[in-house]
Amino acid sequence: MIFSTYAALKESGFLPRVTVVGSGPAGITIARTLAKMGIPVAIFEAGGEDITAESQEIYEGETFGDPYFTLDTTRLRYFGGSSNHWAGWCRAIDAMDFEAKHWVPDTGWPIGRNAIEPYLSEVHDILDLVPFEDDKPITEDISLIQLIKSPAVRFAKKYRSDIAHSRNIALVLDTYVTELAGDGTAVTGASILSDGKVHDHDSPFFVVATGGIENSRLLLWSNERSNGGVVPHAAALGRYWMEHPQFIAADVVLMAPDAFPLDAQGEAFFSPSFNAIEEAGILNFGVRLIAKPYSGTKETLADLACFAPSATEWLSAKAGLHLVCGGHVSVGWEQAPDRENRITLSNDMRDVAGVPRTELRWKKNDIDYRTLSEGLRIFGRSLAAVDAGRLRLADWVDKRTYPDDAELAGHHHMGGTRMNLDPKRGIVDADCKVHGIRNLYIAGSSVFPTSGHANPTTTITALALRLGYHLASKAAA
Amino acid sequence: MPPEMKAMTGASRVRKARASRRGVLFGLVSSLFLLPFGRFKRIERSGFVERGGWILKRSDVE
Repeated sequence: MIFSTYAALKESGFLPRVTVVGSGPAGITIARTLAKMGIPVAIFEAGGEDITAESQEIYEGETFGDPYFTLDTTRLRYFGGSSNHWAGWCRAIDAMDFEAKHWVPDTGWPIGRNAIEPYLSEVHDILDLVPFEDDKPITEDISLIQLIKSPAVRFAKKYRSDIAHSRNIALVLDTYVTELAGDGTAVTGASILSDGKVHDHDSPFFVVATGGIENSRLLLWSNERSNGGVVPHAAALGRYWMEHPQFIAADVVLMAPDAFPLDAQGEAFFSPSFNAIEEAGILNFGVRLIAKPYSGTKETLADLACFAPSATEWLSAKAGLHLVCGGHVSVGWEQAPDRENRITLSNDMRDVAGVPRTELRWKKNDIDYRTLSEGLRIFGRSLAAVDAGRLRLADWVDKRTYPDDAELAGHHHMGGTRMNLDPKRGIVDADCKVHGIRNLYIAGSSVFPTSGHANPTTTITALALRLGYHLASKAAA
Repeated sequence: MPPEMKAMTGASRVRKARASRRGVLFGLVSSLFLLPFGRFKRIERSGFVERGGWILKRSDVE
């Protein structure tokens, strides 16, 4: 069922056992899972069926620190959420990403990769993926990895009909949950703005699934209004926010176009072993090798000739035989969790509903720089070791001057409500339940304590399925 | 289907056994493909040098 106002939902007599705030990939996945298990669930979507300037305006905020995207363009506030503009690149985060790294503080998840693996086959169906393939090591340090370029499922388009015909799902559009109320043990209700009117909503269970920035904003504001009644252990709330910084940071010449299997876009992907990052004292990173035409490669070869004439002679001979034999290297990497990278509420700017706007403080720190710099060197050495080619670092890398007119980051918003068994160090427990609150759960990448290098949607969807099944047993009781 | 439901039906055990046999076969086959790259090619840092931003084998410049 789909309603356009909260009043229409009330008139229908539908009584949800679970209320999900947000209709992005996490929210829709949880709702569909609960509905399948016979649990009535309401989804409140703040936007409508389509993008509007008025709705996007709610996401405006300020950023401080390193250059970053404007906050009203880096996510979407309407049915389907940010699935409406994602690229569809999929890979579950690696087993090693869940492990604590003794060389980087505040790393490690309270669950392992085995906690999400049982759900990955269902994730395939939800995201329309091809089967996952194992990594293929090329040296002890580097593996060729699979990064699936999926059709980028638009959740609203794919699941609208299911939702409209479900007896157990009530999607309410244009319904803005402005705050949750709590008494320090449970969420006792939600304040909702719909059709110009404020409503109080009650539900046995709540799931906040509004995205990697908005989850923190809603909980910070709710906590301020309820004197700590919604997140009683809030030391980490809004903190340890992370992105995947990414830049084109090197060029390569390859010994042959088939040195590595390239996908349809002429790209191949690589990532490091646990031992390689441990030895270098860095975090995980992903290398995207982007093949470029022969003309560009000639210049790169000319530069190599200045430093390694013998290697250049051999490579030039190879290059003469092929049209494509070089490439750019884009690196996207795992940021070190840093409590000063955080979301806070503006003191003086509010949206039309009176909710304080977001302030985002985000910087890349020393570990982040080392992950980029050492990661490139690890990849470059492996490339040379197997005589697949040679790599040249971009000039800015050793100067540590990140380009500010480039990709910057992946639009991947992670952290802010991180998972940790210790309420002093995290917001949710291993079941994604807010510490100390019996009926409040959080979905999405805001629960990630660390990020790995992979695009987050696959992991978000797997965690959402896991939470959906967990909540189904709780809500049925 | 949640994992606990699969366990109840015994489906997970069957699937696991199949997956395990498949895993062994896949490992054998994929190891053949990986041979050209040298699956456990060791990387000794001392075997590499940097010149003008290039990551080179020592033999490239000697």
